[in-house]
Amino acid sequence: MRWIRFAGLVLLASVLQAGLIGVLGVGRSDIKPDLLLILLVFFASRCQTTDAVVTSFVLGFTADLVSPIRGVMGPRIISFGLFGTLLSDVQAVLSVRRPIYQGATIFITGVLTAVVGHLLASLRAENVTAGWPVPFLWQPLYSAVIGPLFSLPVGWWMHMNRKRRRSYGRITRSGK
Amino acid sequence: MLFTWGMLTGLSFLFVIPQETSGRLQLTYARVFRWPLRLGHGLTLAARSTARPPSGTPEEYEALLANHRQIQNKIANLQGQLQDAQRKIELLAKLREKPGWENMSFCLARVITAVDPAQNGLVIDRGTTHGLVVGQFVLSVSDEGDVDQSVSVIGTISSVETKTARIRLITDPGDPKIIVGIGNLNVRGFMEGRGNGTVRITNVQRQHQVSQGDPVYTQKGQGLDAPIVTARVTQCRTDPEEPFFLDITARPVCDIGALSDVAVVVAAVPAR
Repeated sequence: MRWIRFAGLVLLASVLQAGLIGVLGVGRSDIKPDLLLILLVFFASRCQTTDAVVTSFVLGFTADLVSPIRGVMGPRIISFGLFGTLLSDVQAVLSVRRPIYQGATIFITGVLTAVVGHLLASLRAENVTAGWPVPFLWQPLYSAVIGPLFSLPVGWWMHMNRKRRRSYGRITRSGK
Repeated sequence: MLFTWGMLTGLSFLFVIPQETSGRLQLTYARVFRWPLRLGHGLTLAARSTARPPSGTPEEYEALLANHRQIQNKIANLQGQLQDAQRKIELLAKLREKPGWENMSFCLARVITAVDPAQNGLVIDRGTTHGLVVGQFVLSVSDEGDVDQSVSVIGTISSVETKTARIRLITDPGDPKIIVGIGNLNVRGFMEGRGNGTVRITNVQRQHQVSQGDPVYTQKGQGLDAPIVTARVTQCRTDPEEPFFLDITARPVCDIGALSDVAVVVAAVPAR
């Protein structure tokens, strides 16, 4: 895991999420994709478990800095860390390399992190579910649509585009 | 272990660390990255300010278009009213420039009906609701600004309704007679209409020198604060019925047939 590249990527994603992502906004409610959610699914599905846990909590912390739920820090740290870790365990069984599976994973992870995050935020703030369709449905859906497009460039940056090789036994020419 | 530490960190931020500290962290992030954030925000606003296709249903779009057309019509009507009001202001200002007219009040009116040669009258669109009463003098108003040919007395109010009034022209042969002066002469004659587009001036003694072209002024004191030109002498001769007096014929200075606006001197009319 190239942590310096990861730090640069997270900083870039946070600045884009806070400043420039509005260009991609659609509809009257200004629905925008969540770049940090896309990165969460990417790293959770491709990294080793330890790296996936660290990246998940770091991305959660960054999400709370950039776009906290009702200004409360902590909900996204917990939700991103929780579901990033779970996804890292799941990817050992299910491969999410294919774009359609990536999209579905991003959508489900986005819905779940939004639900848990807003539940936790409601412990410290009021009226956290105002405008509910956007964070619980439309934003995860939008992220799921464009998320797979980021796989290649992010994978290239992190040098993660090589396929995993399963560790089979080596077969010699003699067949023994 | 890492997972546990991560969860504890999250729970600390959620329940232990004060929200002010969290807020300071967020502001520190915004301060450190304020330049790219500001740039990104500016680019976002610039992208949104460019033409975006209107959102909404076709019915909403049609309703917006219809509303836009109505607003355009209202603007055009208001502009027309504004121009009309500005024109009236200019006319009134022109009237008030005449010395002695500063205290006179005027009511501008539009001529509704054209001159009827048989009745020698005009109908205007002002009435009692605008302060008009019988006997008030009516002036002609034009855009040329020439004292001799623009502003002149054309008649008096003969009858008034709520929103309309009738003008008896000076050429109307009926009563009443208007007191007039001629040129620089210190005379007071009576002007009455002949019914053929001219007026007759009587009660001017024969020794006064009256020439063709001399202006005839409606004297002040009949609801006017200053003498106002009314007609010009076209003929002067000795009255055959009264040899000590002149029989003067004059023609109005104003082309009454071409009038579209008049000004009524809204003042108290003294009893005659």
